[in-house]
Amino acid sequence: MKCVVPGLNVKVLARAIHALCRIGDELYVEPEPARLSFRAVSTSKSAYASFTFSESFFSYYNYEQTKSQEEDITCKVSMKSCMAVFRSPSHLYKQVESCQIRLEPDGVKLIFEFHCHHGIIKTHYLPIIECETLEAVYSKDMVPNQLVVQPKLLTFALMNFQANTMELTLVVTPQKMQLRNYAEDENEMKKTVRTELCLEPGEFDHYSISVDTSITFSLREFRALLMFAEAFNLPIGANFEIGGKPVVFVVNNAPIFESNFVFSTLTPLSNNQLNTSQQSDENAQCTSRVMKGTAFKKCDMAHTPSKRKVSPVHAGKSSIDSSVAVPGPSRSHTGLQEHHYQDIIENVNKLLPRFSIQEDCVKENGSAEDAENSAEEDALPGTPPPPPAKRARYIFKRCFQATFNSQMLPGYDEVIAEDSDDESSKRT
Amino acid sequence: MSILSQNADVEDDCLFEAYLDSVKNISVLLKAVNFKDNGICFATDKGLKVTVEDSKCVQASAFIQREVFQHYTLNDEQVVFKVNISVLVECLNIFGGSATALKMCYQGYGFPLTLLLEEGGVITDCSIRTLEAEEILDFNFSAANVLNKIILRSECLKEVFAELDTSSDLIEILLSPDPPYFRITTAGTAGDTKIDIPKNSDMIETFQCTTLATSRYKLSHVKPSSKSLAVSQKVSIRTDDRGLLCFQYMIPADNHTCFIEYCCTPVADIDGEYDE
Repeated sequence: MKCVVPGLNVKVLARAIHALCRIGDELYVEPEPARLSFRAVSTSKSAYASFTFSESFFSYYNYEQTKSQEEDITCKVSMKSCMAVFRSPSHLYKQVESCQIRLEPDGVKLIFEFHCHHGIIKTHYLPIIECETLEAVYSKDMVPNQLVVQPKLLTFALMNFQANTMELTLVVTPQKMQLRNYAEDENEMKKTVRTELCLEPGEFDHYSISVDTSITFSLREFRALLMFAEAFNLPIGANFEIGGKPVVFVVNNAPIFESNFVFSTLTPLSNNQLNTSQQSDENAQCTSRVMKGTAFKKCDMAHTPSKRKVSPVHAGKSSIDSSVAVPGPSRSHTGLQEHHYQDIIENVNKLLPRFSIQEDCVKENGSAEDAENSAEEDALPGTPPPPPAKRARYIFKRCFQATFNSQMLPGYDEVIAEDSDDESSKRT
Repeated sequence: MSILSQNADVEDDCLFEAYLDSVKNISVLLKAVNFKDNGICFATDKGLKVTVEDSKCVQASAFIQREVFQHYTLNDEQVVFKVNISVLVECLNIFGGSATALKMCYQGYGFPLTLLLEEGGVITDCSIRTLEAEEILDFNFSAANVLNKIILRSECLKEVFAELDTSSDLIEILLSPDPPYFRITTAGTAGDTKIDIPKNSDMIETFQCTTLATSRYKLSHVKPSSKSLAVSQKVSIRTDDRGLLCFQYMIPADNHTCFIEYCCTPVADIDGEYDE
């Protein structure tokens, strides 16, 4: 495959690569007879991005498939290599006149040849890691909720959120859309600044919501796509169904190029937890109860954020030729941690009774405790927490074990290698 | 006229003395060769030369001709002293600006280098300890042995050097009368990069190559030259039959031109080891 990208489009290609580099560590380059695709997927398979450039993007596009080949020539290169090539955008924009991309059928290198001003030619030979394709299965058009928005609007909206916001929640109804920062549980909500922003349907280019829902996805990858869209002032289309199913963002300049970003969304385990804007009193009471139980578990939660993403790429199965199974979060954890997870779930479930029936809680003007009790009776019965004694025994379990004595180890007296030092001080 | 030059009572025991109305040029030149702390200064009839060396492989020299100085006195054939260039540069920039006047004086072996700096009526007195000046390498880069020489405008090379793949250990320079004419190659962790500059490029002013010559140099040795490149207008690249690389940078200084020369030895090609 050989193609030439004219000067102005090199900027688009560079920005596309920059966006892809924020998604995954490897870049999949997939040429086809009439178009060229660049794809990336995150290591946790929770984000996927694909940029497809049609023939019209290039000033020359030649895809030769020899008869002996059955499969398309595709390859995978390291993202680091690509970033080294497209590292400095200013140089690229000012100096580069055209960029030639070459991929030989049996080649071991992906070649980027930049023709710059003054006759200078810079050629980069990127080693190909493997020849494999990346495919994600997702539905874009048959979804009930679709919107189109200008990137500037989202950029302004996101400016209001703290820089360390990891996940963003969109709560959509036909009347409005709320943007919130996502907090995993009560503790986090207590400690972080909670930001909430409402957008009216009128601010969107297209707003069609059939199913009320709330979706939560990673902000880091979303910012990558936002940067790309804003650079070229292209509208962003969002297609999604409900929380738990992936959301597909589309930025395209049809028919020249199209990009799809598929992000997995969190399953709304305790969706109603987030409707706390009217219940600050209850919050205080609930937190103190929960805090006691989860004091030592908090650090676990901090280290295992991925557990909450119960459904990674739900409908989007990435079928990779090299048959890498999508690892489920719980599979890789030991039994002990499973136990913790259960504890966490129990504690979270305890919160559910308080918040699932909002109206009841709000109506009661009595003490917070009353609210707790009544809510508990009405809603799902929470699993009682493990008795304190059991927990204490777990924390101090080492104290109950016998003192370690090296002579207890089997074979301690078997000397495999003598001390080489003559005056070795014998240790007991 | 600055206050310093009004005090023009030349001390007779000063082996070397020089006045400058503005330290801007000398400061720029010294900063460019300041990739190592210590440098050896040679004051001769022709002017001042400051040489900095690294691991006996790299040598950079900044030449400031006599004509650049407003006043230049030399009471010996050649005065040599070694001094910490970083400290010297800091002293020269003590007033921050470029309107500083300088009087530099060296009394001889064992004496410090004294500087009198003046700006806006304020005078600073600096005294920098001198060190034992060792022999510097003489690369013996004579015109007779030059195989290939090109002179080009610095702008294009600046970008090239700024973008060099720093993960690469070595940099290979190829000069040839046939295509690809002038090629710089690096091989880093991200892959190989080749930069070709054809001889008919409008950036190249002179192209005198007789034979195809390829040599490899350590990137860490060549990289410091980009400081000099950044302040220069033109650069000449020469290689000789031993593979020695010599850059000569032309730096404008008011009405004169100052030069920086940067020499680098090639990596010895142990057979087969560096074959690609």
